[in-house]
Amino acid sequence: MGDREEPSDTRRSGLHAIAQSVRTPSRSPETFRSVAERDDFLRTIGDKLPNAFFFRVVHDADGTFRFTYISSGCREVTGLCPERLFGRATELTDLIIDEDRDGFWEAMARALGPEASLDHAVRLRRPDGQLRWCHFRSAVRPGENGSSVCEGILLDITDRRSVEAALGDSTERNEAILAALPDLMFVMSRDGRYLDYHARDHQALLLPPEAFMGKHMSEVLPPDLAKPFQRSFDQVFEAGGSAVVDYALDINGERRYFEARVVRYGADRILSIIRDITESKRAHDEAESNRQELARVSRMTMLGEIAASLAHELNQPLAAILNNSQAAQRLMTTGRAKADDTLQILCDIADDCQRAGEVIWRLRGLLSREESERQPLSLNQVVHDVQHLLRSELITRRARMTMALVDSLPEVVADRVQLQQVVLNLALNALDAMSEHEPADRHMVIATSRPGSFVQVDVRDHGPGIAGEHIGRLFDPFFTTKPSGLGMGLRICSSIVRSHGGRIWAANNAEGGATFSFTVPLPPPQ
Amino acid sequence: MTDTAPLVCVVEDDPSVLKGLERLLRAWGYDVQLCRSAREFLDRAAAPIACVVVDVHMPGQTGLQLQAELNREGRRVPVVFITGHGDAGAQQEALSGGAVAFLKKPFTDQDLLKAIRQAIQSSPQP
Repeated sequence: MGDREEPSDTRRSGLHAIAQSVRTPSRSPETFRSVAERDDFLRTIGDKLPNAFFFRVVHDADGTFRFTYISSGCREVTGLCPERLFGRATELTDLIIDEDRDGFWEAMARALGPEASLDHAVRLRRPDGQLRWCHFRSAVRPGENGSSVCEGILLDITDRRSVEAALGDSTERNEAILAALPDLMFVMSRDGRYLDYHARDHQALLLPPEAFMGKHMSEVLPPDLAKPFQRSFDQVFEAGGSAVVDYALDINGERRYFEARVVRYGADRILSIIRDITESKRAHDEAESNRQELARVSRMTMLGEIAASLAHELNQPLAAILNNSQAAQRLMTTGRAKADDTLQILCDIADDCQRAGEVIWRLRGLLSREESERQPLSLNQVVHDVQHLLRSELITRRARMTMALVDSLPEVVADRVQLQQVVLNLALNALDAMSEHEPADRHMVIATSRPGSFVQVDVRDHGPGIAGEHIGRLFDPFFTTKPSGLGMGLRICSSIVRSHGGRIWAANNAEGGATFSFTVPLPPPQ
Repeated sequence: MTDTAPLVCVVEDDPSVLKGLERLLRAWGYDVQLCRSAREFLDRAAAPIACVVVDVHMPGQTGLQLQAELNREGRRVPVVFITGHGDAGAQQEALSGGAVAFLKKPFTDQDLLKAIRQAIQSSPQP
């Protein structure tokens, strides 16, 4: 209760005043056996009241204010002990910040005048520096000798104000976001009925609101679209999170693409945010198409560099086929052909036809204009493919290539042609890097490994290594150290590897030369 | 052609091509010696050889290097080059080094036989 021992009648009169302002509907005259009991009850309430205190202040005829009652919550709210306020009432009003002080005294003047009540919020700067929002709520009645008695409560409303301010900010922010969003938003029932919508541009709705509001989406959307939406609703209700529905619509003869993000909203509603992604999809498709075309041109250029070797790979089996078949002709026309020999010749011709076919098959993939296709494959096989392509080139360049492939390398989901391009590019770079060395030192190693959830390919050469100032720029576009290079090969390798979710990098070897490595992630476990 | 079939040596690293050439040359009545590399030829060539048919591109020592070594050692063996590469520079070098012919794979039996006959005619009589 009050921190100052006052004459009991004074205290009682203060409590009596408070008692008048405390509404207790269940109270009846029989509840308290005595006035003292009731005063104790009210004193307890006053002391326990959180973030508030009761007060009684007398405004004397000479204009001075003096507190005659203050409950103990004063210290918590204002940071002042009641004794100080009993001594000098303006200690409290001195805490009111400058901006709010005039307003307070004007409100007080009205309260002491015709209004007879004070209902005013101010900001107090407590002695510890904290700023608190406080709300005076009191009634004013005439006192003795021309004084006025102001009785009431001072509530600390700082927390409420913060919440209100945050709520206000949040509402304003949400309104701003809504106004700025180009997306369509629909609130729908779980079973797919339109309940509300937001559209900055009503034309984007394609239909007037009365054509869909309150209706089930099966009545509004094409049948093949209502089903995936319903599935996405079921998904977010069962598994939580959000779901995405991508779809296309033909609008005025133009195909447009949309992305709907579906989230649960409240207990039984769905919020569906729909974005027209036509432009970004076209830009993405165009960029992807350009990337693939650039990669294809790069492949053509690369294959052009080894065209003579590739021709050799094809000419070898063709030469063997021609020699064998003309040998058989000669034996048959001279009557010396034996069935066993002829059969063996035919078998060898068939083998060489197959060999030539494989060369063409490998080249066809690399030269194809067709869209890339991702499928499960082993990077060991990709390395073998490149080894076959480079067989003649290695002989021509008088270099050796050895393979260090781990057994049972798990498959990755990848575009075989694109990864062949990466390995081929790195291998040709390695051969270029070693071209100034003696043939005996032109040795390249292609290794595979499985670090963590990735499969890795390393192409290690024994060339001069990479100059320090070049190592950070190797994968930049148009960066090259070759006199006739375009500087796009490694850039395209990097683009291919990144499009597979992997990483590519280069480092110098401790024993000399450089190693170019790339990774491709393993598919997630089923 | 004499009573004894002339010995033609084929130096080629590709087993399929080597086997095809062996069959073709034997069908036309030549005796044939097969070598998988220039080094093997240099180590083995003791018998009188009428002609050597050499692949230009081989691992280790190339056909052109073999020709240069034969010339250096004064071994006058007529050489017919065969190649799967259309390398004009190599052809120039081969012919300058005294090669009888430079055949591009795939070549017909008539092209090869003509070159070999020419080589044998140019071969110094033992």
